[in-house]
Amino acid sequence: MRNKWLFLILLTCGVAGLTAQQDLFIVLDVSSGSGLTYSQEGGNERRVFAGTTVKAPGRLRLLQGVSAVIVFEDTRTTLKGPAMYDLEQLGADIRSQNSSTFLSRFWSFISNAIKDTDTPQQVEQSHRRYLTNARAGVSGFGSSSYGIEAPGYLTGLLTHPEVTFRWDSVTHPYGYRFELRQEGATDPIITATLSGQQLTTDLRQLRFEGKTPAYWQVSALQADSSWLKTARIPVYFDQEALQIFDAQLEADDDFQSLSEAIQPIYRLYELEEAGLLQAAYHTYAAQLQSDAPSAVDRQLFISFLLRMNALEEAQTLMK
Amino acid sequence: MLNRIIQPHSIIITVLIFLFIWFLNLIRLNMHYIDPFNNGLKNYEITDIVYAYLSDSSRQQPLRTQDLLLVDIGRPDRGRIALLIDRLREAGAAAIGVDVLFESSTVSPADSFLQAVIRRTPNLVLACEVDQVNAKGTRFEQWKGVDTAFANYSTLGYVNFPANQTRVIRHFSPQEQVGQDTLPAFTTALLQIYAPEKAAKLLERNKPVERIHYTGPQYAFPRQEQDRLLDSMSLEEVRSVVHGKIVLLGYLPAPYEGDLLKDRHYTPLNQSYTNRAIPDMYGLAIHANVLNMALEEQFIRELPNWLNVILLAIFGYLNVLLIHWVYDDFNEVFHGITRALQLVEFILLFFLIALLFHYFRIKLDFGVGILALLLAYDLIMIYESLIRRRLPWLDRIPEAIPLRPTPAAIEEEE
Repeated sequence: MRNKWLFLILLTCGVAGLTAQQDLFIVLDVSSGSGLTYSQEGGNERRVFAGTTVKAPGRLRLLQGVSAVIVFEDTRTTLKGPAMYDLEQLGADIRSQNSSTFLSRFWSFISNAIKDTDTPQQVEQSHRRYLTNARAGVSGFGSSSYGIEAPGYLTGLLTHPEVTFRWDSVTHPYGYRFELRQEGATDPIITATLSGQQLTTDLRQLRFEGKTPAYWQVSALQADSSWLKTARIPVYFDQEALQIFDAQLEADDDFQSLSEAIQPIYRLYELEEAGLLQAAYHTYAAQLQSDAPSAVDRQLFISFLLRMNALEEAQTLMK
Repeated sequence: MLNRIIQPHSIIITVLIFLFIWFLNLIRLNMHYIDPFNNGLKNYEITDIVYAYLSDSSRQQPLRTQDLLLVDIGRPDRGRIALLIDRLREAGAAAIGVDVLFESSTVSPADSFLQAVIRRTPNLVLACEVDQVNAKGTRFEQWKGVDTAFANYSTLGYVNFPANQTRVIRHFSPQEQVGQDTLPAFTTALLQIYAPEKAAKLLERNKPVERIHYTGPQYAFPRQEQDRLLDSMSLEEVRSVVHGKIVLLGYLPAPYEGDLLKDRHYTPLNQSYTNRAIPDMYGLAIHANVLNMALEEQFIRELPNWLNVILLAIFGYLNVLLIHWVYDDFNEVFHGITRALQLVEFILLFFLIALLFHYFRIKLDFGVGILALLLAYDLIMIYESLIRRRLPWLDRIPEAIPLRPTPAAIEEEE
């Protein structure tokens, strides 16, 4: 008798376990990096991302404007914020949705194929049916990943030790936080809180550990406690790279065959091609600071800045 | 009963039908330039409708959503990709596939860093291309698309598919002979790292090309963005989404964003199945579908040729028998009945093919069967009203095979 009870208890536990295991929700996609959170009863709220699996019982919370696609028992569902979803209730709702059968889908296809011949008259007569099928327009980048843009010439190989890190201004920041850090390091090489949109430093004075790449990033605290950021921008400092580049260029027959007036322009082109963007920036700037800068030099510099996504600097120069 | 089924004239008509189809096939000329409709249809299979219309769009067949993660890298910046690979390795990704061709290398720090990261990531697969097929079409002479500065330190997998930019990608080749070596496909190489037993099963099938069973549209797999993984998420958070998974890096922008023609291809899921206008799936999602198929072992089953021929012969003969019977017994309404019969049978056949493919992944190649069904009516008319009248000796052939009478029949006759 006791064995029977034991068996029944074990069976119930097994079934309960299996049932609990099925209540898994897999997040397929989230429109925003921090707009979806998950919490369990009495637990802390934590951010969840595409690829995360969450369990019921629990709650999913979506902020305003955020949408997420989840999979529950092989059924895809789109959730839209602002909203709070109780996962047990959500699971029950999804289960209760009637899924169409193969036969009904087959019949729908066959009957539509017979009826829906898409003649111009049909479009004219029942145009509302067709209005949602096509659209002429593109989606704007409403939720850009990064609220702060940085110029492209401050990416990659830096050859000039005196660097002015710049970034675009944002509306109503509570100051900017600048950070230069080597990949994997616990402490940053530089960290600074600033009110302006630039920071000048001499890379020779900084201590880099080995040849591990570094990156810089700027964050700005907003009134609603959210952070706007730049991407993590990789940089490498190598002062000798420019000398090596120039030596190779001097040895290049193509370069030698050019006239003296064309050689500086060709060098600028080659600098960009080689990824020496900061060196190209300084060369353009030096040309403008010469005694008689030409309108062409100015135009070339503006074009370069536009290519480098340095819109504010380009705008200043255009004025 | 048997003498009703075995009828010599119906057998002759069936043979004539298949001879006619064979003859049509023999003299087929390349006249597609004046036949755009047929050209469009050549790129179509009945089972495409199953993918495009008969699958439940809100439900997905068992997908390895817990094993796969697709990461959109946006603009492929080598420095950022290196950072990302390093982060994924730290976070415990089981296998990392980079669907980006690193064609040349420079002495730039970004490339040096990428090389260093590749060297310390043993579970990484880099994309390459196979190139220069030999004259016999049996092997390739070389691979290309990835510089040796990276290729020397990583597993390679080719990302070629047996199709072209305007054709539907239906197959993938699990491995190819390149020079003296065997090179795995991108997905096979990833499987060999992630689930060697599944890769072995795939290769044991010993098929030069495997039909891809598409189980999900391009956004059916979990999708992340490079910037989010690198900049917004802590290492712990990254670990929570990538640990123990196959992570594919490539171009997979969010819906309605990005370039609709860049690395997009035609698949059977395209709802515009006859005049495919816009490619419907990013390459990364095609790789994910192949991986899903191999992990779930959901391969498409194709009938052996001999069985297909037998089924076609039986199907063709039964139709001739039926239509012939209508011709003999209901001659006045023969036309109407036969056409209705053909229509109903066509729908039933389509239903059967779709059903078998949807539930059991059995692919019936019944194009010839449908043609035989359509030709049966005309061939019976030609045979009865033209051939038999011109060749009187055909009348000496009995309508039915005389079988040995049963004792009861003999008794009755007496």
